[in-house]
Amino acid sequence: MSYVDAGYSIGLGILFLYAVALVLRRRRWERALRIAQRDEHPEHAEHAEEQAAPGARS
Amino acid sequence: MNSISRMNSDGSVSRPRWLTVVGILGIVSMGFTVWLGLWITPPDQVQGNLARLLYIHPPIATVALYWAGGVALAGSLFYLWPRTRSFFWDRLAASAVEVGAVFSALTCITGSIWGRPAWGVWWAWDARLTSTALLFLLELGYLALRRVPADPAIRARRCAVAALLIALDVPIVHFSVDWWQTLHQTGTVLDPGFHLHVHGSMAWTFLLGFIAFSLVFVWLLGVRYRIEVLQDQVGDQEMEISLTERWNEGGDAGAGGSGSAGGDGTAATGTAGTGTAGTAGTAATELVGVGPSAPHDVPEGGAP
Repeated sequence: MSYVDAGYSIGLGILFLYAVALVLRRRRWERALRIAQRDEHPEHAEHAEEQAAPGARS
Repeated sequence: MNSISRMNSDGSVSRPRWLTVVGILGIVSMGFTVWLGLWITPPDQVQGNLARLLYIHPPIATVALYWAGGVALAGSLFYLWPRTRSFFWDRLAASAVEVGAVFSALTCITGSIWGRPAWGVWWAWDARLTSTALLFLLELGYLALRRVPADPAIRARRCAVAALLIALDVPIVHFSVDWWQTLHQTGTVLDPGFHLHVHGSMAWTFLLGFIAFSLVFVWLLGVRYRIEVLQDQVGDQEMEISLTERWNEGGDAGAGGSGSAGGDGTAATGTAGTGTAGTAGTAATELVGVGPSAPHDVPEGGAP
């Protein structure tokens, strides 16, 4: 392998790997956001019920 | 919200179409650059085929130095200026520094691969090479500073000052070949009198290389910025969940409410500091209000 081939392979390869890593990170955070929103809504619903009937739990 | 990431009505963040177009254009132009650079352009009279590396090395260095450095500097200055202070600028600067660090590393790597056959050494402590390596280290320092737990506003201010230090190194890298006697040549494409050194198909390939790497930089910056926004949103959601859970725990614990209130205060500081900025500041403020002195922290009918 020549220096030119090595330079193009390593340079563009690293850039490609970084781009893939960024896309995967973005997907992971999008999933995390969806999970956090899903987790949040039942709590809100439960909390709303509590507010509607304050003496129900105590 | 801005055009880099828009929030939908359900709270999710949409992917802007222009960013996808930029990404596709970047990949296509990169493909053409590689094709022209490796197979179409003629070998150089002096360097032979080794000159083909210069279709990617100077464009990568340009992105690392001027595009990433410029965006980081502008973002930090806009954040530090009270009238334009917004976490948008902080996130943009942070994204530019991370992408810039990758391009700085690539600048050193591709330059080193070119330098070995051209100069006979992989590395020399030459002013241009050393100042570029320093730029990379400063960018790593910025990214490390960003991970230090702190209030989002304090962290943003610290990082903005750090970005100014990075920006100080940019003119040093640029003028290093003029200020000191270096192994690195002076202007590769243009000389100080703006006379073009490259002609014909080599010049067009050079130009396409600059466009391709610039487009890829914009796409990477856009994706990285959206990750920052998502991190903030998840941080907000987690804090709200944590707050609701603690609130419920307080309600269940009855008279033990004062103990859980102290725990809330600790949790609030920790969560806010570990990677949320922007809108997280609001949630952090809310959480601070949940400390022992907050009136709504007292569980219903359970306060001593």
